[in-house]
Amino acid sequence: MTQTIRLYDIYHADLFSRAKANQLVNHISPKADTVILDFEGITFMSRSFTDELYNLVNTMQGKVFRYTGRNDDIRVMMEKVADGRTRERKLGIPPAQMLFFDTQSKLADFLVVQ
Amino acid sequence: MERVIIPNVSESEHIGSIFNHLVQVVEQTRHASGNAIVWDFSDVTFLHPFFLAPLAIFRQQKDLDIRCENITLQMQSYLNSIHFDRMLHFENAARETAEQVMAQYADQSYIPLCSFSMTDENKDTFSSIARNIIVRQANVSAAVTTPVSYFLSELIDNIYEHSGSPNGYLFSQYIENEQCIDLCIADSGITIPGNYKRVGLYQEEIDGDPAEALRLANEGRSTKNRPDAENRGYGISTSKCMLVEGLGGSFFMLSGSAFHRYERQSLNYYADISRFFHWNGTLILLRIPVNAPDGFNYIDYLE
Repeated sequence: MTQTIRLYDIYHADLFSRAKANQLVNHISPKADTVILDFEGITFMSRSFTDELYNLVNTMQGKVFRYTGRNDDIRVMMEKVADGRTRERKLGIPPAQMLFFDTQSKLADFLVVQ
Repeated sequence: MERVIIPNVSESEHIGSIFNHLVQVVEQTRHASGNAIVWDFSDVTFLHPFFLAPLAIFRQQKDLDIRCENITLQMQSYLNSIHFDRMLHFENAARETAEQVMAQYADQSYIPLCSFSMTDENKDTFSSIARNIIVRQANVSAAVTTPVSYFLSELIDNIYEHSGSPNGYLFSQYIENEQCIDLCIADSGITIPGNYKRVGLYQEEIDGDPAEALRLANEGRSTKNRPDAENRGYGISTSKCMLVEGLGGSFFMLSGSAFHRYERQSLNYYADISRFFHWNGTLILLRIPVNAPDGFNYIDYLE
């Protein structure tokens, strides 16, 4: 059987947290062989939610997941997360200084000019 | 009676200078603990949001009996408005109820000091409603609306996943002159160095240096990766890059006995201050421009 899950009905417009993504499993019928996740009305999906959704989709054996109603941001977010699982991570952060202050007055002197 | 003078912290002060004021007031107050304490506002005509919010959180966390004196009428009115003395608390309120409470701030320039219980439902509901109000107050451009959602969702989810804090804290102030939002997100949990210690990961690299623990967290070294993938730890690092490099904003993090400041490539450091200072929990300050530079697309900053 095919099951359609309207995410807005469960979560409203925002898909924020990992815990919420994990709760999705409770809405999936064991009898469903195809699950359609309907994103109509969803305006934002966080990276964390997307990451957990990726786990869920890839660990539910024997079920096919399809998506409908995704806006561009959601579609790209899903692509980024999937892409991140297949390649080594590269940090985009520039190197930072490591500082140590042993007294409050030294910290104060530093912060006044910085 | 111990008297702590609260400094005037003007709108133009930079985050470093504001933090310096905070350290001094917190330390003076701590040394006075056990005695009746007065925070003396005689010198105050303005208090920067990045000073005010941590000060209120510190007071709430410590449950200190502090009397505030010599406050001007104008300042008292503002402190009352932002719930400085008693934060608004959201404890598993129904979405409609929380929306009703927050709706009264839709036409203000601030979200008052709020605490919210860290349950699955409550934190997401609160974050979503807070985001709606922030975006409306500042008339945030379309290009910045999704980053604001991104910062709130990732940083508050981190509190839930890692801090063990029963509550989160949030305060936001739109600064029209600067065309930016000053946003404070905090918890009273086990701190980032404390979390690495609890799970026993990266202890050789950290080697007792809390600043190193902050660096690892900010570079995405998660304590909860799956065995087969580095799938976690993106929240802080991508939020930071998006904010600072993408939008030209500022990022500040204080956790336990270390802090991190990132405002541009030349102002990017971690500092160990464990010899003389400890903050209970983690505090994150974000200065978010309400308009994005030309060509900004948040997707470019997703890893």
